[in-house]
Amino acid sequence: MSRRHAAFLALIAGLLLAPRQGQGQSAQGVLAAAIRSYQNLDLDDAAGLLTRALTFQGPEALSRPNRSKALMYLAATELLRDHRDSALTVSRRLVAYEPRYRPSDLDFPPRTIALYDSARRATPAVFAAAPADTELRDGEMLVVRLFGSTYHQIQAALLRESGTALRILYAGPITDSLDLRWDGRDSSGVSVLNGDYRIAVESRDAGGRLVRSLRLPLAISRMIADTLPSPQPLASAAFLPERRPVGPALGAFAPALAAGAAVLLLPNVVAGSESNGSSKGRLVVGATATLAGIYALFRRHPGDAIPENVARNQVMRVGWRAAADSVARANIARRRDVRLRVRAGEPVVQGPEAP
Amino acid sequence: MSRATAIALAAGLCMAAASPPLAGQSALRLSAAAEGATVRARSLIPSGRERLDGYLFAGEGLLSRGRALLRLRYGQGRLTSDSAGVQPRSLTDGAALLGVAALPWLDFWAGPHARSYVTDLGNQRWLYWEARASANAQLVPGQLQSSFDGWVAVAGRVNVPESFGSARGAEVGVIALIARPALRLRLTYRIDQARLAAGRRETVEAVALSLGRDLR
Repeated sequence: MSRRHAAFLALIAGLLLAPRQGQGQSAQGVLAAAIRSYQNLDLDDAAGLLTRALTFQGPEALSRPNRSKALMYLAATELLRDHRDSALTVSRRLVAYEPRYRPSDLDFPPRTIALYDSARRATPAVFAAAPADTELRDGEMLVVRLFGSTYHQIQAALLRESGTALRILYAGPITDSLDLRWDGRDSSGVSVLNGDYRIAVESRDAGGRLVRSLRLPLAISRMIADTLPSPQPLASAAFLPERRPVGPALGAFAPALAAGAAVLLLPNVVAGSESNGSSKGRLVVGATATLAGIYALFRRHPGDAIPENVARNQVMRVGWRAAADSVARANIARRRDVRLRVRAGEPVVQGPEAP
Repeated sequence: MSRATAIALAAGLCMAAASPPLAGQSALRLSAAAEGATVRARSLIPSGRERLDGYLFAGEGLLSRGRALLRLRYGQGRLTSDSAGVQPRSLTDGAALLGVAALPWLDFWAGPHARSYVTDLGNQRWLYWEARASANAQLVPGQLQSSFDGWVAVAGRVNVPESFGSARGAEVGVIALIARPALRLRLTYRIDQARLAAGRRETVEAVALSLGRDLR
């Protein structure tokens, strides 16, 4: 192998083994390396690394605090590199991205902080923080906290996803922060329908010019509590008979009737053709048996009400009715207890320095 | 059916009676009753028909323990006829039946039943070996019952020249239970008929009123 071939192979191997940008090193790692370079005053490397850290997208992207920190270090780096305009631009990006951000004077020199403060004062911007998932009952409010970069005029409005304005929620000045309250209704006082909405906060400069807009997406849905099942109707088997049944009375009457009939028939059955001239006295027995049966029949009071059973059944009916009424009342309350579920998305800033 | 069959039937009743008693029936119980009855006896004989009416007074005892039952009955009476030429009869009727309480409302019985007619002309004796079933039905619990009895003679003998043919009978009645004093008032109608092989038939009916009580 010639020396030229060996050098080519070494170059290929070096390219293959060299770490690729954005691979094998996280955005967080790149940011840490950039901060080390900044502290070592290796400003070109720091600027390059910070720019690279800010390019990570998606799940690998820097978190919001780290992205703010990266922007602040980039502004400081550019200022140290005597790129004041660039430092100012980065500072404005940071203000627009995170109006709440305040640099630490332990990490940054006063000159850098002063530059950032001047950029903040000159950059009207708003950040909105809303609970990710809220359930609003009637009379409750969704609270969206707005943070302003500096004193300026804003207007917050509820819009449909299509952009149609439904209600002006606030119009006026903001300093550090203010709470925006929304009761789930539009300007006419009607609860909004299910769907996608947004709260748009427009920041205006001293001249009243729209300089920046923040959109906070809201997904709205109604939550209705499940109703309770009504108690099962009482089965007829659960009730005791309220009237004395006829069956047992007839069951008592039947043997007596059979005895009476037997008295009449026995001479024929037993004596056959010799039954003529049978004793008439037997009719007394038959009549007595039949009368005893009639007495037994009415002794059992067929069809008469059974007061204790009527009372017990009434207690069961009243109990069931009370349970059913209780469930009905609970269900009315549940149907009235309509909650508005508001899920807030990530706020998006639209403006000249939108990150 | 032979006498041996009747004895076998009685032995079967004895074995059944030895089976476990029904609930509440293990104690020895004794009851007695006195009965008065109007009796009508009709005879169909080759020379014609005879009808006699009369009375019968009887006493009856019932001993029970567990399922086993023993019933003894004896009665005497007199029968007369309005027809001329018909001899009045003295009537004697008795039975010794061994029984078993198969169910609380159903008893089975077996045993001899003897009846004799005594006239001036002679003495006529009938002996049946009975198989009997008795059933009670409650009309008003503790107050009124109805009773049904039916029997057939599985064997019989009579001291006349003709041989014994068959015999059967039935009894239906109403029983009133009186609480104080503890008495049992029973009104029944019974009828039986015995046939001889030559065609003679003896039919006896009775309407009886009996008063009984439990002795222990």
